[in-house]
Amino acid sequence: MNIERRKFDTLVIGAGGGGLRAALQMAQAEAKVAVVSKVFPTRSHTVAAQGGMNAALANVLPDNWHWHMYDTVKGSDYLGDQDAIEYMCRAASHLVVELEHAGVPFSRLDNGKIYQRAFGGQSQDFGGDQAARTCAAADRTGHAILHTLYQQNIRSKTHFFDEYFSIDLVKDDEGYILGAVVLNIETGEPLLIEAKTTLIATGGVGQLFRTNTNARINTGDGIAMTLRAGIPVQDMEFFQFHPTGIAGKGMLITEGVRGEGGYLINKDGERFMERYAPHAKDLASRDVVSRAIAIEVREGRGCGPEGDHVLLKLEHLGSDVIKKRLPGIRDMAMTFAHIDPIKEPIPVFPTAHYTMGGIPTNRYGQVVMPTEQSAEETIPGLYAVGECACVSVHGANRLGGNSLLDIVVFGRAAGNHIIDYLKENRTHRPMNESSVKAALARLERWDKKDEGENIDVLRQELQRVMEDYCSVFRTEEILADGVKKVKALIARLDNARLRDHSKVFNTARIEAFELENLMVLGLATVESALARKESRGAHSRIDYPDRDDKHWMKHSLYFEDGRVEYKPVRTKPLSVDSFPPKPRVY
Amino acid sequence: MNNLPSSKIYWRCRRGMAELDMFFQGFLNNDYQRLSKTERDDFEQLLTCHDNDLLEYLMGRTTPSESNLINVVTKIRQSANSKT
Repeated sequence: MNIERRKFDTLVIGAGGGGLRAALQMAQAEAKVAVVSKVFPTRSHTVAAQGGMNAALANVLPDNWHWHMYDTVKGSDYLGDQDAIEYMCRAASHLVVELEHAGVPFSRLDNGKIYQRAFGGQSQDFGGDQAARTCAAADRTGHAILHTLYQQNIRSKTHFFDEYFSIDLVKDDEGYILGAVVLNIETGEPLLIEAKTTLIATGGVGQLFRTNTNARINTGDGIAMTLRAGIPVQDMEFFQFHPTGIAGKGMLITEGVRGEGGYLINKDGERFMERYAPHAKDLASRDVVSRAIAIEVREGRGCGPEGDHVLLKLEHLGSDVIKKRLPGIRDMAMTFAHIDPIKEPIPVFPTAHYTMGGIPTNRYGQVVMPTEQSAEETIPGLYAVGECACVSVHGANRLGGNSLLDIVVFGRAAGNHIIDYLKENRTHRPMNESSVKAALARLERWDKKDEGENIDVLRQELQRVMEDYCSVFRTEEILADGVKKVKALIARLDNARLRDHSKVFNTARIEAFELENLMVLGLATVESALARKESRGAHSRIDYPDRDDKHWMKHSLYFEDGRVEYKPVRTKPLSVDSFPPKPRVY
Repeated sequence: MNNLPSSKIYWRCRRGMAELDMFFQGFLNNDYQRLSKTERDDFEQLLTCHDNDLLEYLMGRTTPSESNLINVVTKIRQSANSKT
């Protein structure tokens, strides 16, 4: 087949923190590493992570990894896999120090130790007093980590394919993943990258929802590719809505604001979180706060002319604290809400923030799926880490400060596992030309030149449908309507056409591929949400308001043909006793 | 002459932060076409900056050290303020 080909030991798709951490581990072991990114690597969404990275360093308050593990299991609403959570929490302190040595400028206490701030869902002594566990490089931790990892990768001779879009994975008849067909955005020419292992680190799918905190690049490309490769996606019904996005805009106001003492009020000036979470109040976990805000608005206690938001008050912290600790947040409020939080509260409402579900993996980053032989058979040669993966450390709800930790811990773990895999698999397997042909067919589909639906219109309609039918409040009726509406949009997508058929920098074509990815993941999300008849973490069903551990403490697996199957939660940690499920009260 | 942004410019305005997407998307759709040739060159140069630096410029927290970028940063900020 006439297509340019390149060979590498390992291919990494996505150049955020997870992909770059894995790439660095492999490049330092002298593997020949290719990293493909649809934007320049340091423009990946990791750059936007403001808050920080959890590790039980105990620099501010007493702490240990076991308390961190407890908080993460509880925060996950007992859907997190406890082996992976133990692994992550145990590794955290070491990896913060490792990042510091690599050049990440963590903020300091007066005594020279790394500063740590309080975030929601953190406790001392298994549910006791508030802990302070989040290490931060001012309010640009993600930026610092991403740039440090990128520079280290350049030094280690990782090969970057910047502005290449991944079309599809290539696999053989035995199920081995052989690499991917990618598209050079600048030239419009496809390229086959053959690799002994492929690691997907393409981030989440926040662009499913109209109001979201995510960059426009977050279209779930890797998750959708995996689904098309015949592998199910896990727990897609669990989508975290951040409680405090700027109302009407979606941009994130980090919960570090509440960690510093900010709190929420309704139109009566009531500090309403005291009713919903008497102990943790405004520092309850994100799903609890999101739901509380939504209830306040639904029950007529919202603020503003439309009564469609609540207020985040921080004037009482004083000008000095706001300027010193929260300068980025102040700028954000002034620019996008035209509010100076030193003088006035910020209007906020929940916005789509984080994809808990994704590509099912084990704690080595290996992609797994059920087969006749095993409930978790590994897919040879395929790995996934970060927000696109479901390892699952976040379960039904992610705690603030755990996502940067997740990408660093499992990026490194996957890198190490791939190094071992490469020792056992020294040669490339023969290419499967029919799989290459199938990937190229996806390109050719957009060459049709007759009249048809508009890509932008379909994308906006999908985002609206997902927001209206699959956001914070869910019922059988709403979700069933949502399934029908997303299916109708998918049917219309078949008739969509490009107006621009040029090759060079044809971004309309890239956006068409992104829309295909969003559509399949929209359906996966709403179908999985319809199937789960309980409320757990971020998945809140009005008609099934309680968590149902007897029937639903299990992961969902959505297949491309629409099937939803389930697999058990891994409740056995590596070395300590399990945390059995109990009511999640803050 | 067609002053609309090229696809290449459009793609390089895809950034890692929703805030930058919002600044650039509005500007490309509404005000980019009024830039002079020199300003368009400056805009292209601005796009080579790191996301974090861009956010600081566009938030008005700092100004670019390259003086030729200050004008185009001001125009993007004005565009954002006029659309909100």
